[in-house]
Amino acid sequence: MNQFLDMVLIGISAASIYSLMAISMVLVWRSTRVVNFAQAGMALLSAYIGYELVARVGNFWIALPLAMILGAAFSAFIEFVLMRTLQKHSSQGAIAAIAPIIAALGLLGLIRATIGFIWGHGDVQLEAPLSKVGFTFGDTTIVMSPMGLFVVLFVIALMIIVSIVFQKTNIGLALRASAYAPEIAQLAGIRVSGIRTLGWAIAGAAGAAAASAGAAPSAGAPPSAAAAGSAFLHFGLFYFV
Amino acid sequence: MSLVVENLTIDHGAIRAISNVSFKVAEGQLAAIIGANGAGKTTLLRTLSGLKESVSGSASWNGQSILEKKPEDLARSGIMHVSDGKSVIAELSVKENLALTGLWRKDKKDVAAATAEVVELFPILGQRMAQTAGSLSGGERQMLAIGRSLIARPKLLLLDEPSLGLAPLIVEQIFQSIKDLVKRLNLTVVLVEQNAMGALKIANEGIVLSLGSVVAVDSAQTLLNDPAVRTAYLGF
Repeated sequence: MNQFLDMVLIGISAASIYSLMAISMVLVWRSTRVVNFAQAGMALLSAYIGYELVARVGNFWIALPLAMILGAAFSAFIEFVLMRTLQKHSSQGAIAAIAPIIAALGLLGLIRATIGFIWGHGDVQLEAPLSKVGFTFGDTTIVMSPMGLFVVLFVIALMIIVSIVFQKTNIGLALRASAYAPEIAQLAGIRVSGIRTLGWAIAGAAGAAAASAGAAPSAGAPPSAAAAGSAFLHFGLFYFV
Repeated sequence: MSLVVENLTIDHGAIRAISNVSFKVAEGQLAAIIGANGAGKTTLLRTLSGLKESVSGSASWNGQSILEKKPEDLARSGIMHVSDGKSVIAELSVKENLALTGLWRKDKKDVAAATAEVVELFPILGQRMAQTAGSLSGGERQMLAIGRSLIARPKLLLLDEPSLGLAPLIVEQIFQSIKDLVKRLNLTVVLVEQNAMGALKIANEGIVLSLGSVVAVDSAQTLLNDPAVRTAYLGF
């Protein structure tokens, strides 16, 4: 029974991170209709940046939002420089759908190589800011730790924020309209290209949050920090190929 | 204020869709551009609203060129294009569809007033506010598309085949409301239609397109009564 409970709790922690990652993919899909194969790589890069920030700032709570902001900026940059250029030169036909995917795959390779170049190919681990030791009830210690609980609550909070932004705000309406029918949105006076960049930025922030949270071990039997990174790569590479 | 198109030439892929087209539409006038399928009507309209590039020639509204401008900027400056068929966003609710043209407007009070006017004009939209636009009938969609454009308080309305796929009775209703709008709001309207008879009945002037060229420009009444034009180009 205990083991069962532990596995469920580990599952919840891991799944919440994966779902955040999925949200970032969906955000990009919904705002630009691009299946972003590089999403995992971009998130991974954010995690490494977070790692670097923790090392320099020495504080996870400062590094996390910073990594999210940088992740958003990087993602927006990719949309602005790469995707927009592609779209400008091929806006119709099969090639318009395929070119962004190929570009994203190339970007994924580039990011992996860059990470290896800067941080090496070994695994790194973010220092968890909260205890990794599970909560104790009486004489049983469950696998859910304060850090694990934080990750779950953090992800739930982000999900709620994202869904409120999408469903209840003007920005969210513009994002949805631009995703469903860019041409109609344009004709209604919405600056679709700017809105798309914003969609990528939000996705980048979500990806950075997922990767940073995933790279900080949170359970007694952790999805070892490194695994977070490589799991994301698998996520990107295999789930969609 | 008037729309002036001079020697406009537009390619559609490898095909010359519009060649050397010139016409003028004065403020407060309703001009119907009619012609068969493939005459280049939609291509012409898409160029005027910034969705498509032209090869040569000019087009101006209020003395300012409208070519090489982004569609969203033209929309914000009062030139609203209601594209054909699927011009509502099916996944969004009626309310959200209407809200799109108010998102960027600064005067939120006027947006609310304009929305109320649209609901007054098309009461059915008021009853459907929470429904998705995809659940509306063809006529209701057209009302929604036109209504949405009105919330931006446009000066020039470019309407692409509002009668497409609608029952005759609904077509009449839509045409009638377009005619009323032109009068009431002093709108300038370019109405592109295959339904030549219906369009000419409400228009001040008619422009007949055939294979990318203007073959006749005259008052709508004259075109309706000209047997040569009727048989050659209008098919009735």
